[in-house]
Amino acid sequence: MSKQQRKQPLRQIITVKIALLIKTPMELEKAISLALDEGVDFVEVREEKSLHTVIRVVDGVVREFSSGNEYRISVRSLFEGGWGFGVASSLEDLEKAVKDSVKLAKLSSKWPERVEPEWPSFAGKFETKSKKPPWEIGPEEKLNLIKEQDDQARRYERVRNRNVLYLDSLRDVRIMNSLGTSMSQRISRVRMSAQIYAYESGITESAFESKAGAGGLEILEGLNLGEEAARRAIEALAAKPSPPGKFPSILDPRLAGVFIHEAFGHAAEGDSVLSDQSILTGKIGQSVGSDMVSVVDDPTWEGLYGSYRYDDEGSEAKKKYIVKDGVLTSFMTSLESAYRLKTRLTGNARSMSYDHPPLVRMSNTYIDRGDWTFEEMLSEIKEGIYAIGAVYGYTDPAKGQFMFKAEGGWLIKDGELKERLREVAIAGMTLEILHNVDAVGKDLEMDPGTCGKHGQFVPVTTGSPHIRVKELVFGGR
Amino acid sequence: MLGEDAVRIALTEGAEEAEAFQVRGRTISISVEKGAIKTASSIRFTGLGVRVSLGNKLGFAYASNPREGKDVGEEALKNAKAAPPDPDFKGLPEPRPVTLMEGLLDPKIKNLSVEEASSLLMSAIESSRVSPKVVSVNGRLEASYYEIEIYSSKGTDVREERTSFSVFLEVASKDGDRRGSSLDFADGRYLGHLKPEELGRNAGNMAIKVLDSTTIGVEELPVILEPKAQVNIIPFLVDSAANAENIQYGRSFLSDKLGKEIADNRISIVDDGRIPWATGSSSFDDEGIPTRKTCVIERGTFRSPIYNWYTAMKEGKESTGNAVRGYNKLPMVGAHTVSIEAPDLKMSRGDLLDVKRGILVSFTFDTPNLANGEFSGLAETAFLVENGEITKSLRQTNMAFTLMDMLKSIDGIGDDIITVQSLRGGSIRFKAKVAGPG
Repeated sequence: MSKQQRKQPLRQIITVKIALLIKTPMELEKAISLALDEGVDFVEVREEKSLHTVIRVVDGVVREFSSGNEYRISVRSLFEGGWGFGVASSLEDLEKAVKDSVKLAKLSSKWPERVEPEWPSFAGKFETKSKKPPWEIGPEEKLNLIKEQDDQARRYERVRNRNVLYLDSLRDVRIMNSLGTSMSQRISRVRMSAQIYAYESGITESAFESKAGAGGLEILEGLNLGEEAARRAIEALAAKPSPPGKFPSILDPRLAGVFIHEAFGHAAEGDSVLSDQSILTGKIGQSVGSDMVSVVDDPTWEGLYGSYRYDDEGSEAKKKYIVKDGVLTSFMTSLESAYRLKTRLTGNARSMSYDHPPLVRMSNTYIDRGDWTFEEMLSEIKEGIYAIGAVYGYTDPAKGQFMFKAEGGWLIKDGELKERLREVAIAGMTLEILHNVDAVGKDLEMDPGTCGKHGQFVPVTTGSPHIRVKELVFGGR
Repeated sequence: MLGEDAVRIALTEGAEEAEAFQVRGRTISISVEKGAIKTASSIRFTGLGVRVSLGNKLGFAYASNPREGKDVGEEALKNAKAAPPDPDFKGLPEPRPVTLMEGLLDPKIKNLSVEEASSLLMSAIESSRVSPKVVSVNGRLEASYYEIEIYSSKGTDVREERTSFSVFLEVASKDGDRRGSSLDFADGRYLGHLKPEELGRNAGNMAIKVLDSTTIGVEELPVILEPKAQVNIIPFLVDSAANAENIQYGRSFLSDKLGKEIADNRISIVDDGRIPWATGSSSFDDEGIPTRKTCVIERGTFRSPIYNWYTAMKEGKESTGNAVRGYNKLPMVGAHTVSIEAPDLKMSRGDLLDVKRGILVSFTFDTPNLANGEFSGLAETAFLVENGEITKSLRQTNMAFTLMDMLKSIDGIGDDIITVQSLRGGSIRFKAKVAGPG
């Protein structure tokens, strides 16, 4: 970049950087031809540039003010069923990355099942809508948004430590492949979170709130993350450990969202199904849950954290029901998994960044709304647990076992919330659990998160209304 | 050169101090699906992160594969100008004399070919097929060679070459309608320590063993955590709970416990950054400060948190060499390799398992709660122990305890010592509440 360009205002600097990305399709086409000349069955080139901002404020003090930029071109080749993956750090070493990927694909090609690249191609351009694109906004406005959340928590006497984190990212991707796919996509994402610690009489508790989406700073305006996290952390100071064992339970929307992601979502990812690592293998068309349960994965939902128009193979993203009225209807797929499962392509191939090949991943996954109110669900429980907030979860889709951790809960006695409970782990079995859902609420809520698989972390949304489950196992004391 | 350029430009343009952290290397990754290699990759990478200060204002910028250090230095300076002051920021680290240690660079990994990496992983995969009931094996191997270089205007100028590897196996099993699975993993800096056949056999045998499963109800039982079930629990005591930042901000349940007795007085817990070939080892930390052994809990008493430069300066202390970062992050505080030292509690694995009724946990992926020190989690791969014998595997079994209760009630530490991730140690036994569906 020349000095003159660097001295231009921020907005124009970004435009110049992005222009570097989109000026190069000819080079990418050459790379594709080169790989085809080497005899591969399919080749895909992904050029990616991303910009990031992180501002971390602890107890009102800015501890981190950082920005970064990343650029690479990755090349993925398919040869007789095996994949090779190479990465170039600039156009100059693209040829070497192509040769690497071809060589590695040939090494992988001992794979017994041949994959014929009989896939559709996609062409198009997409950009997330941002009223206030973060890269056009100076640090002052971002700092003010953070300060607002910090101030909300500071007002509470028992709050001991306040952590507010702001992140924005701009990811520009161009994907071209040997079948004619040629697309580009620009996704801007923003996220703000508040982790608040409260303290009283030797007891410390914390609570976490976050908001994120695909778009601009408008997503982060008018939030009450600081307030809400402070309130819940203080409330938890009086909490008791959860009782251990089996209880009828109500899960709040945030926890139910993580529950469906862990309990079911991962087992419905096409690559898990293909590798015999999913308990759902061979179960399409079968009943997997109560008929009041429908589960959707929808990357096309505008503005959510896990939203996109094209996936990281360049395929168009699709909304799909994974479970419809209790019946398993669809797996999530990439190009290869759709071909090998002989099912439709859903556009769920996602990659963390340029140096990772795409895997089958969820996007915005949720339990569709039902017709219960929370009060109706509560009134029918004699003794149970209302579990709230999600810390994290994980699953072993082959065994069909999963766990998810609630930030806290309430003990329910005779249809009333009686006593506040502390963080607790909850375990279940995938094939049993959806049959045990006996009420689904009207109040669908979506919550942003980050999902990890094979070391790759991608932004997702999990969602659900309140749900009631006949019994879940709580790891209390 | 990139780093030096970045520091130079930042100083020329007005920075008071500047520091560049650079990493450059190569990673080979092999992934196996259903027993055969599915994807292979070989990636060279360079990353540069630059910290710049103006009084007590700090800015940071990073780039992957920058062509020159200049832009990153300028961007960091721009951020320092925009950042409000931090009264606790007392400047970038002063250099300290570093003694380079052995046991960080394995020439075999440095020169590893993709073919050699594949054949290592394949030998683990083949060995996991211990029975026709093993229906699928997936696995991944990563081997990296990299060079870390830290250069600052304060005089820090250190560099080191290191290698590392990690292997992960997932085995699915089936017997009629019964489905099972298991996993195993290993890591380190020296490839000769990887025993692929043994790793594969263990994962395969475990996947068969879990087919015969049962459930239990709510009981208070002796729990034996194997080393790989401890990787998110014992290191957590140092990495998170005794992390100076968490202590200073009052986030940790150990925040008010310095100098107090928090464990059985036969137990000490140390963090050691200088164990040859351990993944957590290095001659200097990610701020160029020499690594060392820190006694965090000494005969039951909480003796010292672990510090990076910022948290140490805040208290007027020396950094313990526990700064951790990637090129794209500011240095945080983190543990190297954590172990329990308790010679009085040492026993054989057989003696450890010699309980009337208990559970043996091979893997759990849960972490304790930092604020209240409670653990509630899934015993992901666990077995019932009856009269000293491992009988059936357990489904849907949770366990709960507080870390303080655990530290006071550990009554045995096994001689089955391994080094994995940030842990070096054997199995441990203590009492906990265990809850299954009954």
